Amino acid sequence: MRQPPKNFIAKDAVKVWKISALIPITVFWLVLIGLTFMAGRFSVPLWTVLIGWAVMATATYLSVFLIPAIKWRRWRYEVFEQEIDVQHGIFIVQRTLVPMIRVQHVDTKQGPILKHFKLATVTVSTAATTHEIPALLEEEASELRDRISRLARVDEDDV
Amino acid sequence: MMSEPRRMHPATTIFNFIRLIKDFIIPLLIGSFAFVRNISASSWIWMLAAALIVAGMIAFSFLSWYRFTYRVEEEELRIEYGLLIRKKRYISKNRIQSIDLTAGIIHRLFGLVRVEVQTAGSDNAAEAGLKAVTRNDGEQLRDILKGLKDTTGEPQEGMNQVQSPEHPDVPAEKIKFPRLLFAATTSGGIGVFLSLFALVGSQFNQMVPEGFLKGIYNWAVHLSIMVIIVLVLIICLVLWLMAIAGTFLRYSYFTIYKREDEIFITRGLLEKKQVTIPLKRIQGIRIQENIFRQPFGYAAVYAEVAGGAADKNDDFSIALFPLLKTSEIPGFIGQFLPDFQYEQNWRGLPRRSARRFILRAAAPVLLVAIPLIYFFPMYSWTALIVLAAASALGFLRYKDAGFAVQRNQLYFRNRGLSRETIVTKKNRIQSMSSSEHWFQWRKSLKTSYFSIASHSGLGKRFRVKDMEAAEADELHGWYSFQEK
Repeated sequence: MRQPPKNFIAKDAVKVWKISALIPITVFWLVLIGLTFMAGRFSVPLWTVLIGWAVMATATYLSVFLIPAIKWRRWRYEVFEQEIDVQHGIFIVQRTLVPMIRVQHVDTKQGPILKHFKLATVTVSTAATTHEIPALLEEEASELRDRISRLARVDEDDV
Repeated sequence: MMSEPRRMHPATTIFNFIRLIKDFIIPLLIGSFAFVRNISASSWIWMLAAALIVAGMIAFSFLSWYRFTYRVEEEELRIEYGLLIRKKRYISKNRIQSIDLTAGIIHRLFGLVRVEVQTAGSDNAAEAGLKAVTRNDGEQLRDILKGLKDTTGEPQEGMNQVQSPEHPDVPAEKIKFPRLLFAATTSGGIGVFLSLFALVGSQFNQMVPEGFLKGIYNWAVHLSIMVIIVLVLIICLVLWLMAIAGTFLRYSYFTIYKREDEIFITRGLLEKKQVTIPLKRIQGIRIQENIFRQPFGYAAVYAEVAGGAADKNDDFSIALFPLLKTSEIPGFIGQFLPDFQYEQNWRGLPRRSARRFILRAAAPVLLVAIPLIYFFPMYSWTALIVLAAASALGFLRYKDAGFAVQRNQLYFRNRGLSRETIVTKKNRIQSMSSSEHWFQWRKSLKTSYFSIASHSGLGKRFRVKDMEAAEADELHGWYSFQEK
């Protein structure tokens, strides 16, 4: 297999993923703390509580600290004249080719967290699939969108 | 004359009425069953209410027929409808992909057909439909929209006359009765009926008295395992008979023929359906050999078609022929789909991936079996049998998985329960991926995927797991435009 795609996505992507992982995790922590108080009142054995805390601690470490970092390191993309080459995945690393002649439309989108870091996501759609290049710098994203859209404007032979 | 606004056949009122009942009344009845039972009102009030509702529905059905007109004008099919809010839908002639004529049981009583017009849009519902017109009108409308005739119904000059499937130059294939019978008895359609059962079951609780279920349960608990097995067998038999009936209803009189660059399929015992597939909409061919048919060397051939022309029961693919001998398939494809060839030299998977396939199939069984064996040690032999069967299936999956590349064609083969072979072309593949995780990387294996267009912009993905990494890379290179 040829070399992995050259370009990385914005370094701030890690922060974005951390924040979006923190939201559900915080809710779970609150629930767990609530349950711990309840456990004290209803004399639930201590070890069940401890297991709960251990599980939550591991989950927090994985989803907030470990996974965003790995995810960023894996995420690569490269846009050639005739195709887009994307690589991503945490445990399963996936490499995808999207030919320009199959691209139907390109979008950029931006949620509140991405906006805060001045980032945007580029979405490439074909007749069958949708591919994302997440968290690029805003200018970079719109430039990429325009470039793909220009390159995709080749005559379609069929479907 | 199709340029004048015209109404559908008055029998449409009946169809509207049936539709209303299906859409509103039945769910309403089922939903309110428990609720209604607890209200006591005199029966005549109920009768009056029911009569009013029915009268209202009939009026509504009639008016929606009355307000619906269609015409062909300025190269467009123009439909106007709507009771209070008038809606107009104009469909340009050259946007129309296919026109299907279907006749259900009621249609056939009146000599009518339903016309479904499909455009290239990604909407999976028919873009426009006429619920019921006479067969003559339906065929005329189809010919006009296809540009075979002008709006007065006269043949267009310079256009080929419509050829019937009996014409000697037209490639055609009809299903013969023994084939149909074999297709019916080996159909895997049992799943459909199982889900039907589940659906009935979900409403079952509210329809039977409470004590009844408890009684059945107590009775069942005290039965010996043999009796339960016999009961299960009987249920299976009934389901099987239903599947047979289903296949007969669907595929009786199955005929496929090709005219220029379109394939026409007519089929159905009670509901006559005619489907048109433009060749250029076909994204791939899928050959399905289910476990009952494979030992006899038979398979079903489906077309994966992009866009609207969806036949929901087939997973959005259209049966090109319900049953063929595997040796007949290359000839069949050459005759009807000359764009495709079907000759391939399969490349299987390396020996070392066999273990992964067996593990994948056996692991879920183990997960369920271990607690069961712990609690019911006397039945551990059944668990062992199931485990052995799952492992055997895993091994079969490994044996059958593979791929082939032939110039611009790609073949993937896979097994869930049935063995499925998909053939597609490079320019139909929307995107291609390969993936690996740590366990695969350690043995230099990779999984390869490709996606082709299907209905409503969703696409279908096919894959081969655990192939030699170098071969997956080779496929990637085959698909790529870059220099290696």
